[in-house]
Amino acid sequence: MRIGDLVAALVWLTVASYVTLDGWKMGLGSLNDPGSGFMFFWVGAIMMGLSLAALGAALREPAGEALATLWAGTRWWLVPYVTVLLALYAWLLPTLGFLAATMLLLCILFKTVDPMGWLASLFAAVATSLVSYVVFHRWLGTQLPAGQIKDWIAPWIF
Amino acid sequence: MDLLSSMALGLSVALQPINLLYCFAGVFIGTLVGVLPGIGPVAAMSLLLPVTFSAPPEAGIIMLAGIYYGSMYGGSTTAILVNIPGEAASVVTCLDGHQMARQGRAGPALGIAAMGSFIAGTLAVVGLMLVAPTLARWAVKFGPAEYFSLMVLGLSVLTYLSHGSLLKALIMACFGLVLGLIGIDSINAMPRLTFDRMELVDGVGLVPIVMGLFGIAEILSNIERSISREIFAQRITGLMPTRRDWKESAGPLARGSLLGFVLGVLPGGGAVISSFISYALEKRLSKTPETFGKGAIAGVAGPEAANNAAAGSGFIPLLTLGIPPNVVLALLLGAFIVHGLQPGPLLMLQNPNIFWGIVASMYIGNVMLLILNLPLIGMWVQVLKVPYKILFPVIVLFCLIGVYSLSNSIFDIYVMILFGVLGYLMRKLGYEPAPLVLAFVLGPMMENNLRKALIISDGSFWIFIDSKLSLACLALAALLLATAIIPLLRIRRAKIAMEPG
Repeated sequence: MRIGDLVAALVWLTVASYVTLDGWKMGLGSLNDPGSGFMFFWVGAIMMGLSLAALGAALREPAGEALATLWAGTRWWLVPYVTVLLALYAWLLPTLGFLAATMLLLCILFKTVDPMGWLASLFAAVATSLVSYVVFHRWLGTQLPAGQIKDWIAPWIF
Repeated sequence: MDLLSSMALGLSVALQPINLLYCFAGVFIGTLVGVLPGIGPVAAMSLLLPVTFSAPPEAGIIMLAGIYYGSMYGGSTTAILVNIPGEAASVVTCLDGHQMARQGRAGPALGIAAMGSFIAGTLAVVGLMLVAPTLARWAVKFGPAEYFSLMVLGLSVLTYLSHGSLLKALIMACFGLVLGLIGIDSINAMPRLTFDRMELVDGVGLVPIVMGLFGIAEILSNIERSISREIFAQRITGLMPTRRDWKESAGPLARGSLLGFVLGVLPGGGAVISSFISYALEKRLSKTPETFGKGAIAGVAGPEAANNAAAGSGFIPLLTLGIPPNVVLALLLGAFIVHGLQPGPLLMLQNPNIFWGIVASMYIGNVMLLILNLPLIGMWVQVLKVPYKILFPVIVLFCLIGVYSLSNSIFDIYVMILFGVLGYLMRKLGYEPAPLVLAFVLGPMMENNLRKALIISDGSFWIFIDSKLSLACLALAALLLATAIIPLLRIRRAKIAMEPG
């Protein structure tokens, strides 16, 4: 865990330094009228102290195993894969709309992570998307993006 | 208003058809998420928060509260039948509950868990009804210094009880405070850490952070390893415990209820820690401690009573002080605010129908849970058989809908994904998300009270020491954090450390 702890402590130290500096820039005010940056500055400073202590503790740890051992024997590639799929979904959602984007995302998830057959994946994706659309949008009144597909198709039909 | 007329008012609210419907939906969904490992009450409440917008405030809060205490019931079913805790509070139920199931006594184990939960849950509501009005009257006298110190104590206790390194938990709490302060300064309207993004002017949303840290991170952690579940295959019969079972369970039920109630009220305490302590207490008091871990019914009754009592009494600091004692109730605080309500000492005076309606609905919810749990065990077992490869895309979809529908913002989905990845990495490196979330919720309130206290005292920190309550809270917080550094006590802390959720 040593390298993992070292990296994490350095990341937190960077975040804490930024917060402290930003708090300073916002203005600390005075003790009888604390400014906008007062809390940021002091919380950032405490976080810096804690990160430095974590860094010291990590440096005192024995060298240990490499960072990669945290992912040994796992299907680690699925984590960035699913993350990218979710980000793409968020990007496509305003354009494709809830139904099309959700069907696409679910079909890919069903087919590629713990793979199911094409037909089963397609059926599960369509059924889940439609049921969730009816339950959340129609019954519970949740606002879901309609997308622009209708606008593209309309001129071709009418 | 005396207690009886208050309760009558509460029942008149809770028994309205719409509130009954929302209460039923809450406890049903709560039981379902309790049964299903991988989705907890935090994620379920985040998902359904937007659904409550169109409902009256009391109905929405009644449903969300029902999800919380309902999940405590459901968690035991998975623990007993699958040996996987559906909820963190059911971890100890696995030890003896699953052993009972393996010995052909799954029925009495499920029965005592459900009935013990009902008894403890009902006792906790009675306690809440008796304690809350007195505490609220007392809390009206609290000033900014007392509130600030109480929040420091709550955060310190949660940090102290967090699983693993105290240093890491403290870093998480600081990071949560910083995140909570992003947005417009409530005193002088200055934008802070907004990076010129309009979406950040109102701050980062609680729901995207919670859904990311608890929902998406859990999914990312689960998909990288293949999950296999061994579900108890035998037919479950005889849910009613025998007379001997009741005799063995009576003491643990009473002690568990009392212990859970007391620990649930404390800031930072909650269902998880009370179930662990109850199990340790019962083992110590038992004449046959060697049977624990091998199917002792007392090892199921005590912890189940404790976690349900704690779930009920946790509402006391939330409703009377406006301070959530744990992450789930922090989310409920968010729900109150979204509905234009401010929990605290004045809630009972300004909105007695909502306060007493919620209390009364918890009685009704406990009865519903008892009716739901025993006859529907077969259905919950079927739910458990749904393979994870089908379940996880559905959970992902629920998270996406929940986050988007809160403010119709794609930006919130990106925030959720970011915190999902962060939560996944935090789990890998031993960082707990619970202190982050509680600090995130308490951050703005802490800052507000700190600044107000300093303005009132003309910049003197003595204001925090002049008040006995404030001094006691700060001293206790300092003591807790100091003891974590002393090696002998550090071992003790490790024993009671928990994984809140």
